[in-house]
Amino acid sequence: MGILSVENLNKSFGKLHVLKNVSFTLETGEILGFIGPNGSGKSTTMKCIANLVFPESGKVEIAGHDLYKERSQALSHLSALIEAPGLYFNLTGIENLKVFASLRQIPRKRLEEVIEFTGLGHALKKKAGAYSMGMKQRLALAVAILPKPTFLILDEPFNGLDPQGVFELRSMIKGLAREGCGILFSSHQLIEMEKISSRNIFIKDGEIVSQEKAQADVAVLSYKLYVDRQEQDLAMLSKLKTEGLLQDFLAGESELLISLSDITHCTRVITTILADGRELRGIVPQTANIENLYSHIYEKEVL
Amino acid sequence: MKAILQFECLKFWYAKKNLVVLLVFLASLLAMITYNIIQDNNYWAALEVELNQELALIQIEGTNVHKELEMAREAAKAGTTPNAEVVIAELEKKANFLQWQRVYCCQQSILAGEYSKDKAQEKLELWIARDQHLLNGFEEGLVESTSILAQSANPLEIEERLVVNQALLRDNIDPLNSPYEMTAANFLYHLTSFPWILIVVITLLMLSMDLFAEDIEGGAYKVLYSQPHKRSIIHVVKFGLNITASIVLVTGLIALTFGVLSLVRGLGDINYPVFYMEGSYTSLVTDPSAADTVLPLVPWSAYIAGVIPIYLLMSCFTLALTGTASLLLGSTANALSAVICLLFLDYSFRILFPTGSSFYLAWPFAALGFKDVFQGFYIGSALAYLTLLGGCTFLLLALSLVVLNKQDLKGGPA
Repeated sequence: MGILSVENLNKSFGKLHVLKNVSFTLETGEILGFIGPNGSGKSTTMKCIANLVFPESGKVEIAGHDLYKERSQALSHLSALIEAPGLYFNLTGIENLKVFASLRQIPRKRLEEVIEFTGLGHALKKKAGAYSMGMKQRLALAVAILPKPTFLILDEPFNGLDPQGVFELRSMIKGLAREGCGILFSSHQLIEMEKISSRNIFIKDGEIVSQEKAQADVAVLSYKLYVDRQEQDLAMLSKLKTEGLLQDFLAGESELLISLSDITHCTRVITTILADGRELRGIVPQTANIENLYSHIYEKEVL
Repeated sequence: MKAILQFECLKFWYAKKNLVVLLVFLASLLAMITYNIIQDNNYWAALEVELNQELALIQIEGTNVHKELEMAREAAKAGTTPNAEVVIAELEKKANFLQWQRVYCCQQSILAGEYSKDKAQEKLELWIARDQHLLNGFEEGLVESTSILAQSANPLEIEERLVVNQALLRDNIDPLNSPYEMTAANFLYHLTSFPWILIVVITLLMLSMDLFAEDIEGGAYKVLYSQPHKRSIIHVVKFGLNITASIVLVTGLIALTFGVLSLVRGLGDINYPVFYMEGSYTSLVTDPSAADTVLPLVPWSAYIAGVIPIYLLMSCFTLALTGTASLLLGSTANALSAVICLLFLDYSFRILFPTGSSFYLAWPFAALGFKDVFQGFYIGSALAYLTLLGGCTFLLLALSLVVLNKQDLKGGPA
């Protein structure tokens, strides 16, 4: 069953069209990684879903309720931690929790559970403004899970967390998903995303890039060749690139790193290199992991 | 609605800032009282010095008139002046007038040197006698424009003083030791006058400057506005609670100070006469001719009853203005600066525009001096300012509601 359905969201800030027909869905208990570089439209999409930003067109449904027609019912399923932790820095940690708990009339028992979850101990009696980034993040996460949401948005939740915090958050996210909570989350820590998410979507310049297509593309460009470097390299490589045999190359101090644009060109490229009297140092197969997908989509090789 | 109300109440309660602001407000009231008490204690000594200076100048004027009189008499003897008798009669009248003024002034100076509350009636009678004599002098043209008597007070001011003193004597009301005496009643009268009223206004703006900015600056708006509550409900609760709590707390502290003052320094007479523009609540503009006449007197209690509606609306306007600035600017410091700038503008406008200027009909801050409004200083009456303040408050609340409902929420820590 879908907890979230986003259809054709469009949003502009002035002349800048930041969201272009953004559509995706999220299932109950699914952890959906939302990936994209800064300024690609991740946070704006999340803010649209959290009703903080109004899209020009499009439809958002949370647990089957239209966000713009049945706002209260839709938002009653949602909790969000978007961008930096949203707290009252002039209040103590415990006061922050109590204040936010009152917004959803959270029972005392649940409040105590969440206080335990924060792991902040006596620091909860200090003003939130005096907290480190990691402590603020923990407190903001605690605020987000206070109402036991069925749909959780987490934007950069690992920011500022120490390794222990990352580990705890990872298990918390997985635990919430097991309990049936749909989680939409974004992070620049791709390794963490790979460990947690059951599915990823990529956004580029305000458009969702098909994950299936990206994965298929990366599966094809799955070899890298390491070759001795010589002075006449550029001429040879440019020729191969012009012929469409290479996707890209990177010249190191003593060797060349060549990415093939198609596996079928492998034999021809190797033959050309060997015919040129060069030594082939290694062939590394590339798997379709999240970093490669990211590199492929955003046209920056991760080597 | 209940959840939002509980949320805002908790936030207001936990915010130490509000407690600090209220303590500073109380300290400011105490500072105002202390300042007035010091002025009151020094009043008679300063008045004695002033009266002695006036006495010396009257004496010089009197000597000059006597010299003129001698010369006129000599000229009359010599037969060089055609209407010498008329000139001599006028000069004699003037000399006589100055002689009496000198006597009154001398008596006042002696009284000022040894004044105590039990001499209040004597003081009233003496002041009334001198003011009546002085007014007669003005009417008969015995006071020249260069005279110290003309410079220290104009006939309208003398007449106003006379009317008040006569009312005090007639109604057997103890006069204040000085205009600064801090009886509870006079404290409230001072507090409703410009610039003391700024203590209240600045306190109110400090209480509401972070109404929306606090949510934006800490990023908490992302939690608050993604809750299943309508933005309009949040708006209504935020403004409703802030306006109610601020007015109740500020008024409560004023009432507390009033109570303590009445125990320590006495309540003062609640029938003390205060000038009051007739028709303040029945017509929108003041009668321009009223500026040249003595206003009728009303008891202090009636004056305060008239002040209460304008005080409440001025408070609502200040809170709505600061709250809206807090929403539009998204920063506590910017909201505070913006409203402080408006108060500076108000001060500048008071210098720039004469009190009769129609500009004040469109400038809600003009109503800050409640006493001035009720005494017809401005073209607008109390009713006009009530309408203006009410209208501006409504517009500000409507504007902030529209903005909050329509705008994308952003900002806060990155």
